[in-house]
Amino acid sequence: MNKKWLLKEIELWREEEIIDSDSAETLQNRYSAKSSSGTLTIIFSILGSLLIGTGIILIFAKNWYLMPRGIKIFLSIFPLLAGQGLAIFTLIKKYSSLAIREGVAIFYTAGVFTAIAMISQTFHLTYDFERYLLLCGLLTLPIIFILDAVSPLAVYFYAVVNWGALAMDGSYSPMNTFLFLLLFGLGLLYVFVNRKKVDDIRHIYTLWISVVAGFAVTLVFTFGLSLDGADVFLVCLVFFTMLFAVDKNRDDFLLPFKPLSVLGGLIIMMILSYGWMFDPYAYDYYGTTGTSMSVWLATIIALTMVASLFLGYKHYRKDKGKFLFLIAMLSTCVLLMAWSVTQTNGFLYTILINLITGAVGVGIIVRGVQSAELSVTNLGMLVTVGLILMRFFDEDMDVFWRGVAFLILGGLFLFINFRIIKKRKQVLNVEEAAVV
Amino acid sequence: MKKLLLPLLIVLIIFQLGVPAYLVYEKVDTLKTGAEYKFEVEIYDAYGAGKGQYVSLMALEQRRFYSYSENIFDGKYGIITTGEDGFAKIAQTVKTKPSGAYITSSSNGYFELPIGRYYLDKDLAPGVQSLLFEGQQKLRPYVILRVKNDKVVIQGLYIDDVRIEDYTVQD
Repeated sequence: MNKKWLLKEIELWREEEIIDSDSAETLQNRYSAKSSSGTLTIIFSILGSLLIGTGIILIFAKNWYLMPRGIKIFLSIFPLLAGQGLAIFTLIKKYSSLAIREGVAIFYTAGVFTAIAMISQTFHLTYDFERYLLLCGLLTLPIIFILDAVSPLAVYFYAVVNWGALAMDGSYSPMNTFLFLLLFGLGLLYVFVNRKKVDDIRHIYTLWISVVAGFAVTLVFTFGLSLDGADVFLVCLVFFTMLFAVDKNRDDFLLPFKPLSVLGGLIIMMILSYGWMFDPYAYDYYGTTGTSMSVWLATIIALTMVASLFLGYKHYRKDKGKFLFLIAMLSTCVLLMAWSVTQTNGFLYTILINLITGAVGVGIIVRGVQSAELSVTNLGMLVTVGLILMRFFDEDMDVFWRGVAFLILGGLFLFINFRIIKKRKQVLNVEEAAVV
Repeated sequence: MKKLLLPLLIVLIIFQLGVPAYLVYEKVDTLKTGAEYKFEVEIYDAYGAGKGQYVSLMALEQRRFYSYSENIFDGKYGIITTGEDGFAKIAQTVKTKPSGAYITSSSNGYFELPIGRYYLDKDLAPGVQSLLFEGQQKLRPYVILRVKNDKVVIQGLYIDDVRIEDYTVQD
């Protein structure tokens, strides 16, 4: 069969609305698989476009100082003009080629950023980086939708998060907050629209960068709202708890929800186990006492925690281990919230968080051993040994009490080991009896 | 759906070209019709990846703000006056737009003059630094700013009334 003919026919079917765009794309990908949809082809296409764009800029940079302002301005917008021309050509002639679409989209995006930056440079404009990022982000976003290309999404999120960080630095403004959320939401809209294309590696990529950008947005908010240390950790932990809860208990690590939430949650619990977060004097030093959270923020956090519990129960009710991990993260959130309000008994909170983190570490080891998954066992070992090492070198804890804690933990480990061996023997005995 | 994409792309292209065109218009207009102010500066070298070679500038007026004795950090707008020596000064900073000549801060948190860097040919910038390192006290560099409403453009960097580009070439 002639592939070119078939591809043209598919394009005709799409134009005549015999088939929809999604079906046409699937068919075109299938029959032009080797030429246009390979991941490697797309990556090389993106890298090649970036290199060509950078090369053009560097050639312009030579003798830049000697050029009259008019030529400088033309050369500044030349990469943008080239990107626009290529985008029109791609839309008309090569829309079915993923590699070309992605390559052109990133080149086009570079053209937008370059044009604005070089014009600013021509007039020696300083700073105003905030306005530059906002402007470039807004001019880049439609490229993603029109060319249906994911390569500029990371650049867009970078621009939005950086703009948000600069705009909200030290000054809370409802307008900036709304704009920040809107801009981030517009980027997420592309991911949402394509959420069902999980067989497309490009959309897996968009999920990963969206989650990373989501965490960055969360952090920017904590700084913008001038939250104290414990409250910053609370907001971040609630983010990871929700992320863990939305995972539909997939077995693999293809989607970012589980790996990033487990990693983030464990790191936060390990940091909290030091206890310095629960020292009210640390906050007195900066002249602040009491919680730094407003009522509405506390309400949002509480609602997110309830939603996490609901979703977590829905997804993990048949997987006790994972559900318990969610409960551990939620319990830590509750402890952080309680401490934020009371700001007393820091030692008690430290002990409780150490117990929760230790239980999580041991729980992961047990799960890894039971399911014979080496990576899970190693993760559990890392958490448990890490926690022990951190406490061993923890100078805030008296040497005597450290010794007592270690003895108790050691005894606990041996007891668990004894129970596992006993249970294994019982199982073996039952199996032998069954054979006999 | 694809039929809609082309008109959308055309609209986007118009916007994308409109933005730099407006920026150029705004700056050229400010250069031509804006009021002229001379600000004394200190020059120090800098190199930023992705930003190219430039000389970093610190206005002496800005340095005055950084000293704790001056309590004029606050405020988005700096009221400009010209001293007897011909150099511009910031008499006061205010939070609302003043009626007279003013300059808008380039920072949100505190008043910052929009004089930060001056782009030069990559071969010239290091030379400027060494030149000034040897005799900055005697040379007294300054920038000419053109100011029109909220807009500010650096017209040029000068040493002894000679543009830095020409001065470096002479040197």
